[in-house]
Formats: sequence, structure tokens, C-alpha cells
Amino acid sequence: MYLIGRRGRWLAGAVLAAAAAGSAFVFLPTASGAPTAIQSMVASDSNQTSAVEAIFTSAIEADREAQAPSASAYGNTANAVVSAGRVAPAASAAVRNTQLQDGKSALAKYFAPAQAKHEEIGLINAVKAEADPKFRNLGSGVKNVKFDSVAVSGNTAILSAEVTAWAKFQQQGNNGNWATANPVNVMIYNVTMIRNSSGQWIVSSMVGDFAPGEGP
Amino acid sequence: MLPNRKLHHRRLSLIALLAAGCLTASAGPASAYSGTGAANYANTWATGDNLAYPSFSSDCTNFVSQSVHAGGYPLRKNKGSGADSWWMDEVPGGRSPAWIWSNSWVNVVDYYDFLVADNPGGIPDGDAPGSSTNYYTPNAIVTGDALFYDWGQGEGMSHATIQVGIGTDPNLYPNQVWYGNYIDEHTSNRYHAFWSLKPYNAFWSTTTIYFMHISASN
Repeated sequence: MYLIGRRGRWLAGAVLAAAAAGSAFVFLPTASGAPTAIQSMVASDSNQTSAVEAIFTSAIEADREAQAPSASAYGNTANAVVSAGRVAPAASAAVRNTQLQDGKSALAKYFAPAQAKHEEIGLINAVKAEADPKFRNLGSGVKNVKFDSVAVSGNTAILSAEVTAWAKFQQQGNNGNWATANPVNVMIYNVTMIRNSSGQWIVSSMVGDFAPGEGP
Repeated sequence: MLPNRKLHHRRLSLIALLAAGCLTASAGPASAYSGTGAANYANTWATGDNLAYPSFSSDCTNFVSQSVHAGGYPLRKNKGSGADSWWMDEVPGGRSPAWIWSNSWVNVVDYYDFLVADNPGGIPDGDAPGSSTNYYTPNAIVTGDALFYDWGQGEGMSHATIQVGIGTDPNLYPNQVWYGNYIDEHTSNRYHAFWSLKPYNAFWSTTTIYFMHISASN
């Protein structure tokens, strides 16, 4: 891993620079103590913090869950078979196609178009891997999201979050044996979110690297 | 493009030397870098820290650099931070050791760029997806070569390991499914882990692995 996350440092610097410039965080005391327009805006922005956190959590969950067939269509049945000590059935072409279409829709809901295209790479690679008869993709998801910082200004939010992500799959070796793997890692994301024309928060950029000692 | 140009340049240089009659069987380029020596060092320190060096919370490149240097790759002590430098130095005189180093010794991309820029240095040899379960990395990749990982989360290459042999990943024994080339690594310290790291990687579907053959002529 990088000794220092270059981009994270840049983003933190950008936030600090914006704050120093005072464009959105200026506090103007008044004689009466009544809130000024600027104070109202800051209060409003603060109120957006929980909304931003909730939307990012939904976005990263959708992103991760798209990278495996849905629990209802495949995962629940497949994992029950695995729990019984057997090899899960392969995901059918229909299941994989549904995963691809539903996944793209979910990503489009939470990510700006360019970032959604980037997130589709994992989805497409997962669906392709599921066609391998020596592989069973049993699940992918998020265990926890911890926000290290969230700054909201107008229609832009910048946040840093530690996402504990998991995957579960079965793999057959060339000796014919099957093994189940369930890796869990912590990814630190630096994220920019914007409000689109409908007023909905979406992820416009997302850069991540594993937390030290929490990667593969 | 750079690696191809570099290879082309080397071929031209070799032809020129042959034409000049300067190259004989007994006067070929010295083979200084021992991949086996590098692997021996990596195997010794895969799950611990050699106190002769500093260690970092993100220690992967520092570990690969130590291993490659132990294999005989000479330091490039230009004392700068450019792509032509690769070194780690202890500053004498302090009560406890203090260290200075080139960016290429500790940072993934800087080390990759150094190997590409150095001569003979390293030769990039393709890539593979994080879903890989093949026994072997490309044929040109041998013991003592470096692997670089891009997790596909926008950061680019951010992890490095060193290939040390072939066998079954002992961390996942006894299922014996993960057989093939294996690597040693730091940050998440592992000894003889399956080279693609798939069984350890929740982000296997977005990961790309880049191979770097390190010339024995270094």
C-alpha cells in the first residue's frame, strides 16, 4: 500500500482550503442574535450530514451486493447447500442476467454516470466469473460503515469512510477439491457526493485503498 | 510503450556490442541479482520485521525492496527522489536509529517506475485479473520477481509482493485448492500466499495484478 494516501491528503487539503476561504462556513454574529442567511445555510448543511451518510451507506451496499447474485434468487439456496457441507449449485444464465441488469440499475440510482460506469466493472467481472464451472459466487456485501469525516457545503459533500466489506465464494482446485473462502477487508474511501437536479444525493467520485493490515 | 522501447534499445545495444566484437562467452554481463536470494530473505522475514530496517504500517514496498536488495540488486544512491534513485540509509549519531529513504524504496508506484526506468531494471510482463486461479503467473515471471496490485478502487497500484516459489498456500491448508505460484507479503503479513490473493480479497472482482520481471543482470 502507499505509505501515504496521496489523494486522501489532497482531498483533506481541499476541504481545509474551502473552509479557510470561508465560502460556506463563515459565521457572522448579529446584534440581535438572529440567524443570518449564511448561518441558516450552515445549519441546513449540517442537517444534510445524516442524509449524506445514509445515502452513501446505501450506495456502497448496492455496489457490493451487485457483485453477487441476489440472495432471494440464488444466495439463500446456495448458502444453505454450503452450510450442509456440499458444493453450491451453479448460478444459471437467467440468474446472472438478472444480476447484471438489476446491478446496473442500482448503481445508476446511487452513482453519477461516470462513476457508475467505473463501478460496473466489478459487477461485469463477477458475472463473467460466475460462468466458470469451478466457481460459485455466494455473496458480497458490507458489514459496517464508519464515517471518519463528513463535510457538506451546498450541493457538495466530501466524506471519508471506513467500509468493512465481505465476499463469500467456493472455488474448485485442479485437484478436484472445493474450498470456501470468506474474505473480509476494510477499505478507506474518500468520496465526493453531489445533489442532482432532483435534489437526490449521488456519489460523483470514490477512491479507496485498504486500511493497513486489513487488506488481502 | 516504455517497456517495449527499453527491450528494443537493449537488443540494439547487444547487436552493437556483438558487431564490435566486444562480447564473448566469458565476458557476458554479470548476473548479480539472485531471485532465489531475494526469496530466501522474503521467506525469513515474511511474518516479522528485520530490525536492521525501519518498518511502516503500510510496509509492502519496503519489504519487497529489502528482499530484492538482499538478492543482490544494488542500491541506486543518487540521493534524490526521482525515478533513478532507490535506497534506504541509516543516519548515524542519534540515540536511536533514524532513517532516510528514496520514495521508490517505500511507495508502490514509485518503485514500479524505478524498476521500469532503471537499466537493466525490471521488465513489465503483462497483467491478470484478481479472479485468477491459474497455477502459474506468466512464464517469464520467476522466483524473485515483483507483483503489483491495483484493487480497482480508483487509487491505482497500491500493493506489492514478491514471488517466492510454487506450492500449496499453507495459510489455507488443508483444503489444498490454492496451489500454484505463491508470494510473500507485508502490511497483511503472509508467507507463501497464493499469488492472485483471491481467497483473501473481498475486492477480487475489481483487482488487477501487474507482473514485473527483475533482470538477473542487475
